Amino acid sequence: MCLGVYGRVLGVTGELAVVDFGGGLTKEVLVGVEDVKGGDYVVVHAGVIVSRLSEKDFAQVFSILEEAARRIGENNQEAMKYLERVRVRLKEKTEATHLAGGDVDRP
Amino acid sequence: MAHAKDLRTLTKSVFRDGVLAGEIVKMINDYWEQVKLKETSVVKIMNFCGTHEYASTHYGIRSVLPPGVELVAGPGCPVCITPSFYVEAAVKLAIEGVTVYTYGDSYKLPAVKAVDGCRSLSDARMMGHDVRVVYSFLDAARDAATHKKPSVFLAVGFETTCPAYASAISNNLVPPNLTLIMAGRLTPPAAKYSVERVGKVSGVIAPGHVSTITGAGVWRFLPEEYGVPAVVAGFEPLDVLIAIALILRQILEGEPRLEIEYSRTVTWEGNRKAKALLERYFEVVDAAWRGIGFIERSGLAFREEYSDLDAFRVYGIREPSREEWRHDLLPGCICGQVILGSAKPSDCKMFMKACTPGTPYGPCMVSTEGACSIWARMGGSGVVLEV
Ligand code: SF4
Repeated sequence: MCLGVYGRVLGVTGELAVVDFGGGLTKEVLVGVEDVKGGDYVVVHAGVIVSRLSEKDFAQVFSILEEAARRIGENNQEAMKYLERVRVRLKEKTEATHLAGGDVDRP
Repeated sequence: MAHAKDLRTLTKSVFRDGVLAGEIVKMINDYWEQVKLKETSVVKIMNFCGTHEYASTHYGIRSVLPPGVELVAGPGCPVCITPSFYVEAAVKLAIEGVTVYTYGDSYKLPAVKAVDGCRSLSDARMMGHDVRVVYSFLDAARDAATHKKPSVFLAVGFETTCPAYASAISNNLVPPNLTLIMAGRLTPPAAKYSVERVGKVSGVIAPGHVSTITGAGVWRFLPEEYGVPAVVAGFEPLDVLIAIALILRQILEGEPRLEIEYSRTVTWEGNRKAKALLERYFEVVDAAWRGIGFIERSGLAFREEYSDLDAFRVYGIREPSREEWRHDLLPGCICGQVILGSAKPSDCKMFMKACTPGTPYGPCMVSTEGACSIWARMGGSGVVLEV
């Protein structure tokens, strides 16, 4: 039951929020976190918003890897090369996703 | 009209990318070559959570790991560890005319003892009793409010799920005819139990969504008390691969610590609102885990002032004490060992013979997060990296 579904909040009324799960599926769920507002990306579990998705921290995970490679890279050139390739690919992927627009904001 | 960055699309695009996965697999191999020189034994990494087991199996992660790096399942499937007694009590109440609500996952959960020929809530429904499958507790509360008949909810779940109960209660959404069979369980005590009782675990991939509630900090005891590296990870294939790489790095450096890989949603302190709600309605008690037994301070029970919500209180059902607890798996089922990472589903003689997802014999074959069910549906260790 660690299953969580990512969704986007369409609107909040008191302790209830309507969340868009994509594919035309929307559902009313309980607000289980502080200060949720329309447009937020959230993790929903068993009908409750349990967490928010943060874009700010999105790439942080790769910086953990970078740091890892830097340490091991002192005597391992290969690790640094992986990381460089990871960085380039990550940039490509995120830029491609953004250019594609992903979800389109309703006017 | 502006284009928004859709974090869902971005997550899938990045965290399921085959090229990135390939690079991280190379990194894992590289670390492993160096770890091998230090460690004589295999490195055994526990996927604490059923959803990690799902990701590992579904994406064939075992098939791309070096032979010495072993991924084992852990006790993180709440349906698998819900004591048989709770299912028997729910079935009995259904037979007595109470409307029973359950999640789809626990609907087929087989009990050890049949009640009037019914071994599960699905059997009870087939016998014409009022058992209703719902997506959420909120749906059950709303439905129960419409018919006003005596009703219970089989409230299984870990820290991620239990705020759903507390939140609905605090918002006065639970009608007076609905009570809960409170089967909530806490994951850190079970992780502690696993590392104490089950041989050597070299690292733990700690549950991501549980940690959104508890905060990653609850896993500090793993490195600090047991010297076991721990990484709180997400559920995409890259999340799991990165967690493995980080654990290997910690082993290599000889510095076990706790890291958050799933930083896009997990913080150190967790969800304050949900934690406060849990604290308000529930107290922490010693509790039974199916196939394992009692684990200290691992369960949630209603506080005295909210006991009118407790189905066992309302219907006069007494839970077995620690002394009265009996092993609650059917003969031959080795779920207890599977969820503690000491056996693989395929080690069980019943696996895909007497026990299949269509006709589950043991609890780990029921839930989509049960290790046996995952192995049955995905073909064991998986051979293809589907990224
Ligand atoms: S295959 Fe079935 S009987 Fe065997 S351990 Fe898994 S759930 Fe239990």
